[in-house]
Amino acid sequence: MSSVQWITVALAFLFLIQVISYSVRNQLRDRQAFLWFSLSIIGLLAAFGLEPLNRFAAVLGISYMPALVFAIAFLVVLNVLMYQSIVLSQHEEKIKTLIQEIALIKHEQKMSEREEEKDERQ
Amino acid sequence: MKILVIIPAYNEEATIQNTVLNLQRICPYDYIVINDGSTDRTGDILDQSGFHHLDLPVNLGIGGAMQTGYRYALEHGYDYAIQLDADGQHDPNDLETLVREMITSGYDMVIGSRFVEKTNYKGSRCRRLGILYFCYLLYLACGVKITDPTSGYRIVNRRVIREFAREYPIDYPEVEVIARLAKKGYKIKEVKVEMNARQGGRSSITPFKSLYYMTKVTFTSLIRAIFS
Repeated sequence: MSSVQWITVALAFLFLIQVISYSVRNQLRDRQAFLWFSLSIIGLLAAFGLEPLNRFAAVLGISYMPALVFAIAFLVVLNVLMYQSIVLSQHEEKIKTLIQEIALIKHEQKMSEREEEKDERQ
Repeated sequence: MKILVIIPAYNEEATIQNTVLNLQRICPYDYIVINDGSTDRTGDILDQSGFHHLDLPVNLGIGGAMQTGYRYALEHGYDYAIQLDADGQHDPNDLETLVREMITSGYDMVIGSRFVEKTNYKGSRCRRLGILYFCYLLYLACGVKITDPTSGYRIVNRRVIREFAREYPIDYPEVEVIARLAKKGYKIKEVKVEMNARQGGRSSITPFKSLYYMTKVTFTSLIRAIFS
């Protein structure tokens, strides 16, 4: 392996350790942890397989292999961002519903407390 | 027949008292003020005056506040719900017109319009242009002719209350909900109402927000028109 490939593998490995560390500490959970774990494994495999990637790029007519890697990485990151936005929108809706539920329940509670006070006075 | 007037209020300390007192003086219907996480004295005024209100713990925006009102209306078995702005722009004298039209026409939503007949309304040229743009957008996207799609002064029946309690846009909902209802086949009508100038406080719509408003509503209305 060339020194560049060693560095690439080391960086991919560090990224995998980072993801595992976040998952262990529960900072990344469930689906998010799985998503980033999968991506970091793919990154590590790509770092080991620079030769097959070179051949694949040549088949596609791309003379500079890193351009292919960057294009794929860009598309992956774009999709991850879109996924995050979807999750965010879902959470926004859930939080809104919870806030409304809290307000409605507190209102009902206030009203029944007033009724009780009225009854006690009578 | 149970009718609920929903008054969404965010930082309306200058106007909320008069708005509710006017409403109480003029109309016999139940009302609820949705205090949308106000940071000024709106909450205190509502408490001290003993006005019927509900406090949202954080600001949800006009859509979230109105949807809370619709959920309240649904849970408490109201037949009709009316939106009335807290800033005093909507004249409670027109409430009867809205209710009468709603009941006699059998429509699902009746909108109080400044333009369906001549009124005393004098808005800025920009605002009028914006409203005209939304009129054409709704006509092109959904095939409905609405002269005042940005008017928040509107009454809906129980079918629509149920619909709104389930789903309602968070911000700038007025035009978008017309597009949604029209695409689902609900019947919408307009009647003439007078609108006052804002009685106090500040409008939340800045030039940048206007741009966002138009872009967002155009996008969502067109998306709904094409794909729903």
